Order: sequence, then structure tokens, then C-alpha cells
Amino acid sequence: MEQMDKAYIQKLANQLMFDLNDEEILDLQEEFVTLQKQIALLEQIDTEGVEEMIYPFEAETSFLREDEVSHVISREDALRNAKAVMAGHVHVPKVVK
Amino acid sequence: MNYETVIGIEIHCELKTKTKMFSGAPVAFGAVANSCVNEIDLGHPGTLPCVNKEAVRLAIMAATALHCEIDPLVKFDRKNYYYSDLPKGFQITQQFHPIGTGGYVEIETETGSKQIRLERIHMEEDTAKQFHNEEGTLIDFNRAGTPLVEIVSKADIRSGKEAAAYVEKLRSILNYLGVSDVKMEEGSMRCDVNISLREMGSREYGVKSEIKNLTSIANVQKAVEYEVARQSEILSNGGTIVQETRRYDEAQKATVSMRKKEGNVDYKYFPEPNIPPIRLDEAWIKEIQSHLPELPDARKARYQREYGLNDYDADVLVASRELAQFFDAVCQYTKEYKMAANWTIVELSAALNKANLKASDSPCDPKHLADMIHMIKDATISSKQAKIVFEEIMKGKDPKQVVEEKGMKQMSDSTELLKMIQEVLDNNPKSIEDFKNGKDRAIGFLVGQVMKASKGTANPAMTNQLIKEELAKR
Repeated sequence: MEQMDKAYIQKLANQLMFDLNDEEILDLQEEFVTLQKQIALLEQIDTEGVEEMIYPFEAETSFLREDEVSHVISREDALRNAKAVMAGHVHVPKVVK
Repeated sequence: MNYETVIGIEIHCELKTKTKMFSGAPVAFGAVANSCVNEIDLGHPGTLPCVNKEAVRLAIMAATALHCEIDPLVKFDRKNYYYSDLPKGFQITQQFHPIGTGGYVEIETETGSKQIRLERIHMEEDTAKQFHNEEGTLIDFNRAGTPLVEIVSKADIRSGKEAAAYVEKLRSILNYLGVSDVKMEEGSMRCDVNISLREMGSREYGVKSEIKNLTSIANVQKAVEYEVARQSEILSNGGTIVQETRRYDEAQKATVSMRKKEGNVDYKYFPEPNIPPIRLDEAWIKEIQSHLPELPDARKARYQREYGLNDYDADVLVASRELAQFFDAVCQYTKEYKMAANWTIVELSAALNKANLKASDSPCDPKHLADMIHMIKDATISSKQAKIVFEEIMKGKDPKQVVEEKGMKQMSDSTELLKMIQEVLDNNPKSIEDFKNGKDRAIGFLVGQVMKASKGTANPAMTNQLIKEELAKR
């Protein structure tokens, strides 16, 4: 894996179309060091014969969201990451013949 | 060679919710492009889906009305494919644990009623809407994430007529439930038909084609019939059917190939890890199931049982939920059910069609129609006059006021009427003589004369009766 240096984090952020400032990059680097340590710990556990989990928690939940409009973004924001926009639509190369 | 047609139908219905299946962004048909979305609908990294309670409630209603068994443990899965209308690169659906299984839809065929069994009904999210032009493809993400139910039938359907009857029945049930707008022309109900032929008596399925772009129930039947003819011609000439997706072209009245399917596409389904299984409260499910609105079959039976309507009238009324509701409203004010049905089916429907209105937007007050029916029944107005009154009550007027204003009241006062009849008889001795010589037609002439003298206000039935009585005396 590439080193989690500033340039690499910047590259990932660009690919995911995020803006990150220096402070945020530093935070991420620190967080990543912690994560790596935890993963190293997990890797020591013998999981031989243990079935993999699909969900982080085994317990069933019961929450359902009420049908009320809670969050909508502006049209400008919705289209901001698009490479090309035409008449308020995202414009991509033709996908049908 | 004799072939048997084998048809299975998949129907997608948009659920009538205020927000998306997994996000709190609004659902709106015809809104400005890309104005009803948030990060979840657009598949931005780091977002988490959150299940809409109302969508689950509507899906339970639909599944119950279709006689399905409900799975109280709601689970979702990912269907992975790469296409520009699918921002996340996967669709969240219920591949492994559909909310409803089993179930059936009962349709009427020429040989009686038939049950079309259902494979499943499950919840999922809609994709974005695409428009293709010369320069490329335009994408509107407003539709992305709209709650859907997909209803999959077993391959129990055997003809174009049955296919149309199935879609019609399903649409009617979902419309009565109020779970979806079920507008095929607007795409809130979409129908994919799988058709194959096999030798009569064979148990194996032939190679199928899937037909899309069916924007009306009439087109479902036409497309199936075209496809059956196309496939049987190929088979009869010793050819083989290629598995493909076709669409119905309305202008050509034919199905045309969209794409060949090379084997089965692998969607790499796996459980959606971002939505832990949700255990529905059994009491909540029961509550939903015990409050289903009256469905079309039950309403038809009620019309026949309680109102004494015949099969045809009951069918016509039930076919439109709005019209049936109007009829029910009229019946709250009158016990003349047959007349109420006739006026609703014939005059009201025609007037609404002409004005391009739904029965729910009828300018005519159901009570006014009931009042007018009573006026016909007690001979205050003739059926001829009623047509004029009806035109006025369709403008929102009270029939009593109309009759008053137009001086329409039928002359049903026997003393006054009798005076007029005596006069007519005195002036027409020839007709009396004709009648005595067995010419019954003479009565018609005399009634006509009385009508003329009364300027059309004489009650025809009463006039007829009184003339007969008077002739007998002379």
C-alpha cells in the first residue's frame, strides 16, 4: 500500500471529489496510524472456523425513519461534481445506441 | 405445430410517499431536474441509507391485499451493476428476503375466474431518469431512490388477454389501496412481460423474450399478441428464438429488439451491510392489515348484494375508484340504487369525460343527483326534463332551484290535468272514434296533444292513465 503521506491523501480526496485542508489531512494521518494499530491487533485473533459477519452488530434493530422531508441539497450542489451539465441535467456520453 | 404461450409479468410501482426509500429527500413527479436529491440519493461516499417507515407500511398493505405472507424481518441486499442511472453502482433491493411471498391475483377469463400466482413482492429503490439526445445522455436524479415495490408473477399467464386482465386487476387493487398512482403513461407503474412458447403438453420452458416500454394496458395485450405471432412464426419455420430484451413500438405496433441477452447477467448480490435487519412490530403489521380499504372485488360484491346491481353495472362502477366513490356518495342520499347507478355510469361519466374531469373533481354534488332522482321518481319532472336539470346540476346547481327557475314542474295535479284532457278529447272526436275501433295508436296522439297544450309539463304516465280512464267513460 502506498504511504499515507500528504500527497496520497490529497490524491484520494481528489478522486472522491473532496476538499481537504492541511489540518484535516493531519487529522486523517493520525487517525490512520491508530487504525493500523487496531487492525494489527485484530489480525492476531484466530478466526479459524468462525463464520464471517455481514452486519457490525448481531442484534436486530427496529428503527424506521418517519416519512418527512429532512434534507435536500441545492441544485447547484447536486450538479457541482458533474463534469458536464446541460439544461440542469448531468450530461454523459450517450449510453444507448 | 401447436404452441402454448407462457407469460410471467414483473411490475414496478412507485409508492406514494413524501420522501425517498432511504433518504429524507422529497419525492416529486415533474419537479425541476436534480432539485429533489441529497447526498444519499447521489451515492456520495460516507452516506448511510435509512429505511422509510411509510414505504414499508404501503408495501405491507400491497402484499396483504395480494394474499402474500409477510416476512416481519426486513432485510435488504445489493444488486451490483454499472450504469449511468445508478449513482452508487448498486441498487438496494430485497433479493433474498422479499417482504411478501406467495399470494395471487384473481382475474376473470372467458372460461371463468383464474388465479395468477405471485412469486414475490419486494421493496427497492428506483433509478435516475435518463433522456437520450444526439449529443449524449442527460440524467435527472430526482427519481433516484424513489420507493418501489416490484411484484413478480409466476409464469401462469397464457394469453395477451390474460396478461392485460392481470395488469388491469393489479392496477385496480393498488389504486384502491392508495399505495401508488399507478399511472402507466407517467411511469409510476411499469410493466415488463416475459414471453416464451412451448409445444403443447411440454413441461419445459422455451427461450423467452422480455418486453419493456408498455405504457398502457391495451399495449400489454397488443405487444403479447404480436410477440406470440412473431415467435410462433420463427418456431414453425424451424428457427430458434434468441433470448433478448424487446420494446413495444407504438407507431409500428410491433416489438423491436433492444439488446440481446448473453446468458444471465451476474449481479453479484450480497446483503446490504449498511442496513441491519429490522424486526417489524407484529402489532403494527396487524394494525395495517386490519385497516385495509375496501378492495374492488369486495366493493363489486357489496354493490350486487346490498344495492341489487347487475354484474355489468357493478363492474363499470368498480373499474374506476373515483366513479365508485361518487356512486357511494349518491347512495347515502337515496335508496334508488339502480337509478343512481344508471345516472352515474351514463350521464355523469359522459359529462365528466367531455369536461376531462375525474369523478373526484365532479362539479355535481352527489346529494343533488340523489335529489334529482327523487324528483324523477315522484314524477315532479319527466325523464326528458331531467336531462336539462342534470346539465344544470353539473354546474353545481341545486335541482330544486333549477326546476323552480325554469318553471319545469311537471303537471301532476290531476284536477288541472283532467281539465286539459277533457278539452283535448272534446276537440278530437275522430281520435275517440279510432280508439273505439281498436286503434290503440290514437292514445299516443292524444297524449301528444295534452303534452303540447301543457307545453311539455304534463306528467306523461299520469296523462296516459287519465286519458284511458276518460276514454272508457265516453
